[in-house]
Amino acid sequence: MAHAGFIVEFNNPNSYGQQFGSHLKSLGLKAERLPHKTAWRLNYNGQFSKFKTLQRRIAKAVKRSGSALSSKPKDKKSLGHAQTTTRKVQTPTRLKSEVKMPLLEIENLRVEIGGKEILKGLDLAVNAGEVHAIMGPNGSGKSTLAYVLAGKEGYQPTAGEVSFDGRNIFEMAPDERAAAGLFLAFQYPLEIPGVATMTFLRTALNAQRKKRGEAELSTPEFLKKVREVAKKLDIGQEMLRRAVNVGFSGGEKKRNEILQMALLEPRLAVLDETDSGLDIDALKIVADGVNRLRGPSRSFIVITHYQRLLNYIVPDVVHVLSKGHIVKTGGKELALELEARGYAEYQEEIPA
Amino acid sequence: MNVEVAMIKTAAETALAHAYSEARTRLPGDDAIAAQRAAAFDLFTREGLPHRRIEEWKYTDLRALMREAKPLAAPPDAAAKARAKAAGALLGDVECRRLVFVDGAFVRELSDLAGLERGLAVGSLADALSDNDPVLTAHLGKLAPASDVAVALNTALMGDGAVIRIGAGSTIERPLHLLFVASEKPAATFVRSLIVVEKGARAMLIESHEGPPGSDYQVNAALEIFVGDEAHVDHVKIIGEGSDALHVSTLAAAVGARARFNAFTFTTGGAVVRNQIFLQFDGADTVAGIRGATLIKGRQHADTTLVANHIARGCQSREVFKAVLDGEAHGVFQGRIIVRPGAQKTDAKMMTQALLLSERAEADNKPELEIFADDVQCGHGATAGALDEELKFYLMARGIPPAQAEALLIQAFLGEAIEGIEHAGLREALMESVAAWLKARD
Repeated sequence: MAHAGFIVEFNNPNSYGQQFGSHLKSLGLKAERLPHKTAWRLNYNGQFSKFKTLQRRIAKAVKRSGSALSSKPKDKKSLGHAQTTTRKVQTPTRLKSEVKMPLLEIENLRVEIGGKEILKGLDLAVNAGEVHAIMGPNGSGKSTLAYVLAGKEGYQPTAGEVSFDGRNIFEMAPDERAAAGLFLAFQYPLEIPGVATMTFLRTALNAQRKKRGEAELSTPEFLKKVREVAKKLDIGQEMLRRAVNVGFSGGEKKRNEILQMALLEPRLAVLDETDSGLDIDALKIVADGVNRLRGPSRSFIVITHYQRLLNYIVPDVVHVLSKGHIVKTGGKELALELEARGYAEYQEEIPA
Repeated sequence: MNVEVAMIKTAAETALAHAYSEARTRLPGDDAIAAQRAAAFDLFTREGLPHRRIEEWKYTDLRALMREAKPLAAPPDAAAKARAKAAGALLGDVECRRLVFVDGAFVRELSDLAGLERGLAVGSLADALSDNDPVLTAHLGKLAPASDVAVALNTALMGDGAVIRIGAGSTIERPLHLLFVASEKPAATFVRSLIVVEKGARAMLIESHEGPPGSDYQVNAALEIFVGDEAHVDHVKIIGEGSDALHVSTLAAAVGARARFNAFTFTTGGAVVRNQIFLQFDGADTVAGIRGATLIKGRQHADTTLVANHIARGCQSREVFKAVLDGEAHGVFQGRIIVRPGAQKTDAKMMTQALLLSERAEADNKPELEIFADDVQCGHGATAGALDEELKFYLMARGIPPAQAEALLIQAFLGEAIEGIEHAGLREALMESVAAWLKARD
């Protein structure tokens, strides 16, 4: 079961294994060796500064490794590749290490709205391909998190850092964040009278492609794509000709958000209470739409009150957000626990 | 005790008086026409230029705005005519029959009078006045309100214009385009047109006004249009005057029974524009739509004043006016719906909306309803506001850059008025014009 965290991968781990192990120990970190990979996963538990230190140390070691590894490997038993290379002892072994950074890294984020602090030091890391659920009572800051990530005015970050794909998100305007692969499915999608849905979709898609230096889609290509996607979401052609969300029912508006997501192919999709106001049938269609988009290069943050949606969109990680902090992180069972016990016990909790 | 107060004449008023006394003998028309002119000018002499204490002109104090009255335009020379060949570019792709007027004078060689459709008669006002055309004498001045000073000045000083008659049952497929072009010279033109559309006929008219930037020329245009029973007429006026021009134009229409009439005004040009529309429902069960889109910036002033007068029963009128105001522009909309005692089952709805793109733009909206019948449906709405920031954020959150997001929202805003135009080519031409205006914002 995957958790949020860092992945450290070596092309020749056996040589470095012991050094890595000792670094971990000195920093008080634990790592889980991934099967079939020359990689370790360090589980996330809110310790950014330590990860950064580890990162630095690994980088230093890699730099030095060129000369260091031309000497004999320490552990003869698990030589594997190392054994092969030492036969050609003249060639120093180059050590390549890759520390995969999370797609989204939020560190100690504080956000104010109109002078009132809503997020009070939030930490979160989401890796590529992961689905995180964020659950919490009303007023905990769920929508605030969604809006501050999307860049809505009035949501003022007062402390902390957020990096998206390695870039400081606060240096990016909302449209730049979208082009970089961020998508927010609104809890209350807006009506845009006078702007046909097709026009809106094409303008958005081509604006993003242009920003990324990609070629714009030709009209026939675009229409084909829209038709395919719309069909699976049970959105008729007639609906696409109408103005965006005008006269749409709540369920239709939510499906329209998923349609946009399917077309824009984001790397990180934030679904802000996508299940609110939906009946079971609509919920299934929306969940199917989301599940079809799951993949190694796409992450989701599913913000919800209720556990029910998570039966259909099964998360990898569940977080509890309470009073502006993430107070607990766990697997998908955590959602079931919450449903059984409610949020009361988390209202009192003061995080470490 | 009555005190006769003689109003002190402004420089413009004095100049107009001189212009009239000098020109009256050479302006076309017989004695009857001359008498009509004189009566009209007498009204002007008594009232003077309209000023802000007159309710209909409170937002457009013409007396203050007209610092001077330009001399009457001389007939256009070859150079002016040559330059006018490039005019009307906005409607480049729209196939129409052109009638070109340069500095208020009809220019036959630039116009298209060949192969007139059956039932279509076209001529110049100057000719019709000189020839005592009976259609003209029967209709001239019957619609445009004689008490309006702008109309009075037009009647007194009218030089040329178009006289068009469309015979009963005729359908004129090709739109008729009255193209009024001003040349560089800052002069004044008074153009008057008359259009009679007989029973069951169908036609589309485009009236456009343009001129060079930087020249403070003055245009006073008036158009009287009679729409017969069961006829269908569409009229689109494009005010694309030069940046420093003064433009006052009047549309007076009387519509018969079971007819359809649509009027649309697209205003982007001029320093000061006053666009007056007087619509009279003479016949029952008619449907009319009066719409407009105004886009102004800098220090432009554009005033649309409309009166819809329901005399006959069962008519439907819809008015939709949209204004986009940037810079320090001033947009005015005055819309009055009158429902006379006999006009039962009238269905009249008026909506005016102003979108303010800057802190210093100003919108004045004055809707009025005067209802004297008791079985009617009437309503009006007026709004003025800025772009919806939430909508803009929604668009930006989808990757649309801010300038493009604003443009999309502004086009959507105006779309509601422009989509009322039935002619697809013309609709597209206007939307392109909107796009060009938006691009020029930065």
